[in-house]
Amino acid sequence: MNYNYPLVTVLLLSTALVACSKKIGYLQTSEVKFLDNPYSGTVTVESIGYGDQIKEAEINAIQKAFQTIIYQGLPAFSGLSTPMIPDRTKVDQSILERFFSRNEYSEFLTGQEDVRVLGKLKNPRGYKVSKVVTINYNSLRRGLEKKGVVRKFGL
Amino acid sequence: MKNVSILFLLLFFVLSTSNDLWGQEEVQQIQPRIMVMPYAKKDQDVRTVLEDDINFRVAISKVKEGFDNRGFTTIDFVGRLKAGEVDDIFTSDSPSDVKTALIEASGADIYVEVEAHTESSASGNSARIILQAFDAFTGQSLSNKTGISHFMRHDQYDLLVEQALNRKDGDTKISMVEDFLNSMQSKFDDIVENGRTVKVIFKLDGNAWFDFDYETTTGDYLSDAVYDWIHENAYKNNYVQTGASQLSVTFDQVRIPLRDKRGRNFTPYRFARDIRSGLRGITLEEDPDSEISVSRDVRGGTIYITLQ
Repeated sequence: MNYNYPLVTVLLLSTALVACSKKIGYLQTSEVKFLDNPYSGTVTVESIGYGDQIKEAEINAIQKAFQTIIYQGLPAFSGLSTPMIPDRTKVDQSILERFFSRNEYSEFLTGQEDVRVLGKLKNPRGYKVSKVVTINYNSLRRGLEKKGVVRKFGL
Repeated sequence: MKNVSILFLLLFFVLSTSNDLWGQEEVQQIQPRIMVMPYAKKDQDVRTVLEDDINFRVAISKVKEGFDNRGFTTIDFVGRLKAGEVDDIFTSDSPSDVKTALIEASGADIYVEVEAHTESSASGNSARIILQAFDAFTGQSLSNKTGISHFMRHDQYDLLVEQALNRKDGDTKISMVEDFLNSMQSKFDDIVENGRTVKVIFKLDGNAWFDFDYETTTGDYLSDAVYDWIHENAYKNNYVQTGASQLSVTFDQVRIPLRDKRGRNFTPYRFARDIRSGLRGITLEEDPDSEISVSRDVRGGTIYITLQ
């Protein structure tokens, strides 16, 4: 059998290059828009999420809503314009990683609407969605205080 | 063998009584005492402002609710007022004296003044709220917020007060109490990071034979010795000297840590003790055989050190 060794080599190299190349990830944005402060201690926001599948994008949107409240603040709502954790390098990151990876944030969700698909993405391939959620930020703050990542009011 | 056993027993005893090895008890941070009270003009008696004006009562109630939501208990103003009357602390009827006496007697480190005004015009009625927080001893401002409701054609001023506290300003939703508490928390965060501020005033006893321009046996002026001590011991070397004369040396702002090296609460009283320990032993060139006597008086966040 005759093999076209140069062609095979080129094919193998190309496959290796493609396999080793990094997948371009989604931008880590804070596309979270304040909508309402329906009751004392709660906030309704619209969050944009990205993911390979619609479900992933929806979870991304919900997590971003929480991350924005916790790390960036919501300028359009003075009650949350200051982030709960202004400097995340000063807190135990493992606690916050577990908070998101184990969906511990979901207990502070008091309402949500169906996810809306805003469009498909080409590079990387995936979906962009919008999700409206209502969060009990008073309880969220108390929960994070108990975990020791947010200081209680005072010294 | 017997000696080795005794040695082990001794070692065990020493280690078992050592807090550092077996874990220290948890230390609870001493929190500032905060009182929410109505603002009273110069000619107004703070004792009657609440009774006379429901708007104040609504506004104060909302502010206290805000503190409660953050899990922080404030000093009850009405309770303190009644206790003050029972204890007869109001020796003068001058409105400003009444307010000062009340704040002192309450033991508050911080007082929050709530001001509520109503306005009427051709466009309708509105309410204006001003919230201010002050350090009771230094007068330092800790937070200031102002809010005004829209003009409405009704005279339910309590609703207007609520609207002033929670309103829309263009695309922004204002929650005045939350905003106010967030500002206070920023100041607290600064204190945790950089230490609390105390004022230190060094003065001379009336019978002192020397002044701050006298030389010590080390060759420095007495004022320099005082300055050096603060320079070495202010937390993160953060202090502001505002005055120095023959008769007194004043540091308007000296930062002290919230905890000592063992992680225990460090109060202005402890700092005053350290100052006293640090300055005792100083001798003056004029009389090298006798040490300076140092006494201290602490009133909240102000430390008075008297040398004799």
